[in-house]
Amino acid sequence: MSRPAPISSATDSDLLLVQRAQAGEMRAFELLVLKHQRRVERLVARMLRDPGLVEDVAQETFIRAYKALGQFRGESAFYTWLYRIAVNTARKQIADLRRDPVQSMSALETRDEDETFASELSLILQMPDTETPEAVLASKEIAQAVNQAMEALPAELCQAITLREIEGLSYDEIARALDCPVGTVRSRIFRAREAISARIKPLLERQGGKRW
Amino acid sequence: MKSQPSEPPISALPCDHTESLSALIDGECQAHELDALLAAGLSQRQAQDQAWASYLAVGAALRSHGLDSALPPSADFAVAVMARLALI
Repeated sequence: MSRPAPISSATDSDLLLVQRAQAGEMRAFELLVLKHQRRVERLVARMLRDPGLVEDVAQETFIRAYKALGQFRGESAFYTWLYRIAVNTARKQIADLRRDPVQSMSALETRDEDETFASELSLILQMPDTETPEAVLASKEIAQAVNQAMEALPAELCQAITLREIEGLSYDEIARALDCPVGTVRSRIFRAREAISARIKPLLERQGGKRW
Repeated sequence: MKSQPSEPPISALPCDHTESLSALIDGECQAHELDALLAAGLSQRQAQDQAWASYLAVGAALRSHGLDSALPPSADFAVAVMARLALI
């Protein structure tokens, strides 16, 4: 049986969700927040000395992103666009702390060139990671549990999730590689995620600040 | 080739919803599936968020390229952002 084509050829969910958020579906933007929160927080934390400010700046990043969402044309990856906003928001925070509004405004106005931003982002990402030891440990525990779960997966599920998550292949490409229908690929990836999720659920629940 | 029957999803969502979420992560979900996911009632959103966070954590752990942490996002964070957006 033939399946309808996916609504986008994007290799991840961002573009699908951005399009829906641009159309006014707030839930789509909430899923984007959940997806990118940690990465934005880590980026901001590299720039700010005060860990207590990280969440506020990260929140402000998403507020600004939502307000500017109509300007996002998909010419770059959504997370690249979001990173740019995060960097500018963090810089403004730093300038505000210095009580130098002139510096604050110039920081926001002079960082729009792609090359400038790319080199700056590269420098920021080379800064030391600011994760707490507890967060690093928890992250390692989750990674370890995921690896153990992978070893326990049936071979066909392990192959499918590996080709998707590690090799980055599309469902069509995986279907050709494994010589099976696209629907089977989709089902195997889903079942792999479910099986692994069941193994890491206690670890995820142990993390604070969540309603699950 | 016939696929094996799926195990029950870990979340409280119907299996087709969690499979749609999984496909959405990969940019491979159908328009009608996305419609259904985004139209989910509040009672289903917590389970949806849980599955979303868990699948993302699995991917981050498997790739483990340093930029994304395997730690799940804080739902409180998203709630705070959405509450602020509701006031705009």
